[in-house]
Amino acid sequence: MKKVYRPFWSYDVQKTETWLSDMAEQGLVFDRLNRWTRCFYFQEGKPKKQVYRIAYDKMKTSVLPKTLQDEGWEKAATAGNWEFSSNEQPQSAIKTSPIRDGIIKHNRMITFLFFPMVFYFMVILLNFTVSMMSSWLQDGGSNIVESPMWIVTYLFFALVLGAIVLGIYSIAKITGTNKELDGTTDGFWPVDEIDQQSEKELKKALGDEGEIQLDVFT
Amino acid sequence: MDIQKMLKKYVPMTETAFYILLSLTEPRHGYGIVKHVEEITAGRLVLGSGTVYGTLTKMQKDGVITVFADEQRKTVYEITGAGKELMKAEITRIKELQRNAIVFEGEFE
Repeated sequence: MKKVYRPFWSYDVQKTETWLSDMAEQGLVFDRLNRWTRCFYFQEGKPKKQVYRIAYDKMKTSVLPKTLQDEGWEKAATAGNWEFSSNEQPQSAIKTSPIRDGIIKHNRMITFLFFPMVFYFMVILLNFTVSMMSSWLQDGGSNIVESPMWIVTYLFFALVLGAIVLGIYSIAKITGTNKELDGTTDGFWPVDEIDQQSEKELKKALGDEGEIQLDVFT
Repeated sequence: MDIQKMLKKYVPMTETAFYILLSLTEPRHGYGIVKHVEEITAGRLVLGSGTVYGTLTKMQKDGVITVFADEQRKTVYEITGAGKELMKAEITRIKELQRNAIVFEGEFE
């Protein structure tokens, strides 16, 4: 059993999926994930081609849809609401896949949490800087007293900076992934069909006369 | 959700729910469901996207149906084993309705 630490695996699931496939090709088959330590565990074996798909589903379904099973999909692992499915067929032969809407929703939720966090720490940082500047301006330079307790200030400063960097990185990364996923996940209603539908309703509303007129246009 | 709970919640079914499930004899898109229902009811029942989507989401939560993505990454709905059991129970009930409707139909003329 090999253990690999991958801290931000969920920010870019597509990259993680490719990574899992690459690992399988090296003979390391994904076994399970510890969500809290962010460690992936791999079973060492023969190298094999494996396609992975990560999904996030609050409605836990115990089995995969039959169509997916027929196409060779099987559950590789679950961790919380995260579901890992794998398929041994070559990528080109796979037409269906587990749905990813849940990830987009989950990601959006996380960014909503990160925004206030970044804002909060920015305010702290600003406050800190302004008070330093004002003391420097007013007193004509600050008088620094040597003290081992300065480490607390530096640590706090580092923590605040770290949190801001982490927050901004997370938001940027997640937004990017969501954009990509959104582009690949189609909406419920096909656009051209919506037009037909509304046209039909329009016809109904306009009555017979309107129908004739509309037919002229189409 | 176990099957007993599901039966309690879904039987008797609304006409919309029944037709949605009835059209899932094969996996379909949301819009495919609407079209199919319109077809088999000869245009009597045209479901709105909100109704269909709401019902499908509820059914998915209860394990009556599952979803997956097709080649174009569109959501496709499929009935589960439990969902099939549910439909069998509902169809038995509707058959009884129909039998009785035919038996007593004449009395109302």
